[in-house]
Amino acid sequence: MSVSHLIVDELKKLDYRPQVVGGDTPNGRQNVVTFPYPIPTGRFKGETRTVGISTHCEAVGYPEMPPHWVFIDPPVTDTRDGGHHGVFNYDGGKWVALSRPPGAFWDKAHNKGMRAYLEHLSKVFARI
Amino acid sequence: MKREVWHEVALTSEANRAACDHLLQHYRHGRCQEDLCFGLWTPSTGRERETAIVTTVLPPTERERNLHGNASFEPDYLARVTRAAMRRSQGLVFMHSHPSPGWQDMSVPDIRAERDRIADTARATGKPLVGMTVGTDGHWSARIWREGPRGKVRSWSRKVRVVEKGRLTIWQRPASGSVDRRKQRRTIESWGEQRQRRLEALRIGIVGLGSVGSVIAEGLARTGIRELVLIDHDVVELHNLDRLLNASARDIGRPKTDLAERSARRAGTATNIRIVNHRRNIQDKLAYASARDCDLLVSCVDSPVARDVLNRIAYRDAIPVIDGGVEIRKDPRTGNMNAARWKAHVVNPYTECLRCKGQYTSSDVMLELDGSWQNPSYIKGSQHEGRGGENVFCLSLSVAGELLNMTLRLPIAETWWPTQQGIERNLVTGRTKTRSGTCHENCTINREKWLGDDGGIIAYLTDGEHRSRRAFLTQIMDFFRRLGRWR
Repeated sequence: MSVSHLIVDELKKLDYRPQVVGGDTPNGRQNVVTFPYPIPTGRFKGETRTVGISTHCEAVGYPEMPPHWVFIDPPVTDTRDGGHHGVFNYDGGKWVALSRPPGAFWDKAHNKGMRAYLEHLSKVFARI
Repeated sequence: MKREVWHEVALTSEANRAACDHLLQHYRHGRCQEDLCFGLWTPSTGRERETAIVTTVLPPTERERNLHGNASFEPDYLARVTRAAMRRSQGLVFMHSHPSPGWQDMSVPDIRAERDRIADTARATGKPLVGMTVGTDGHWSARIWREGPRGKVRSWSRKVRVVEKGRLTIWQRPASGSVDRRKQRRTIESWGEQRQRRLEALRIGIVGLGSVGSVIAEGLARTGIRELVLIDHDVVELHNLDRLLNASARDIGRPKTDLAERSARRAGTATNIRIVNHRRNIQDKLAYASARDCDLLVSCVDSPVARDVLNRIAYRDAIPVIDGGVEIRKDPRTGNMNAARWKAHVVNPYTECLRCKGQYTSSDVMLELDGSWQNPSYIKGSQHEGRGGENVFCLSLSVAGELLNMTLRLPIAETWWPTQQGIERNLVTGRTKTRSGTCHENCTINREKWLGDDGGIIAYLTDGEHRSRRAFLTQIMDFFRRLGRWR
């Protein structure tokens, strides 16, 4: 099973509605798993954004290595802030890229997978 | 041309202790009585070496073996251990003791027992039988039984290595002939002939031949190490000249491994020094396989991918890795250094892994693999900003000295020497810290202990495309330059 499908399966089990799309990323064309994500924390709590998870980890062994980019549409931060670059280009969305899970978080996670990844995402939203 | 492959055996600390406690129990109580037991092994395949990692010892019950000066076993015991080996997809190892110290040869009954009685049954495991003998001083000798055109063929293991938390013991067949020791006189006067012999048995790999690795290569060669494996894909550049040992402006464009090889050959004190030179990245499958041929690896790299590969080798293949590095912190306003520290540490399955030590993270590996590690716009404002390889020769020498001490300490350490896991020194405060720790409970590297080949292929290893294009072009240019000079 490919990593995209593994991620899709894991997200479905967590009651999300994911789909695999192909788009242009800073690292070239690649598959991205997108799904509507109701933001659970922070100042955007209650709003829904489309989240895209890059599957560059395909070649290096997910879930041992975390997916790298998290793409958000529409943007939740000012892209001039630095640290956010590499806009994902798909379906005319104004995607921005957010941080990958910090290594210490992912390496110490009990069950590496989408549950841990979304935990990271909710922490990111709590801090924005 | 068919490459010669040799065999070796590695024992975990637990397997060594369990086997010696059982096999030498009678000698330790003053009785001249041999004993026997079986164990299980996992393969670890390098480029030139196949290693049987003995992980488990399965001692016999009272009914399963008979003692009568010599020792023999009941068929039930062989059947039980063969089933255990098949269940775990491991190979079978037969171990017995002899009433004399040192390297042990085989008697005719020993050969008959292994070749005619056990090796056939061991075929059920799909792996050849490994035979081992231990002398009264704990000295191991080993052989492997393979199928040949005229029946089973015995192939002696060159070495047996025992990997412990703070030590690496190498047992090898005594070398014949005399060795010229005149160049090593002061070294041998310092730590003794026996320790020098232990060092000479080692095959040491150095990954990264920059400012730190080049010093280590020369240091090991001067100490008398006979076999070195040098791995680095990089070439000498102008900005390396302030730190790279033995490099001058004429060397710009030369592969760093060539430079290190040249200085190691010039400085080497061993009679027949053998150097394997890989102008490749450790991520390259060939360099990775060559690293798995070593008894000890020195990591002088600053890349998360290289550290991840070495971390896995240390845990899976029972090859201790000595890692270290320099960290310089700068004042963001002035850009001047305001802190500098260097670290050195031992990594093996009994210590904290490199990832849990904080030397890299899996996210850093992802960053490097997708190219963002070198992307200034990505690292701007992040924790990695300013990670541009800043270093000063005196700091390189300091970390190289620390790594060299640790590398040589591991094989010469006596049992009573305290375990040294890591050390950290700070230039500004002048403080020294010692470090020890264990892996995080969810560490996945920790679960790869002793897996050898069963750990699977590391997904991101490459087939040679990581060989530096620049190094290749430089070699061509170098060729034409020489050609011009010759004309």
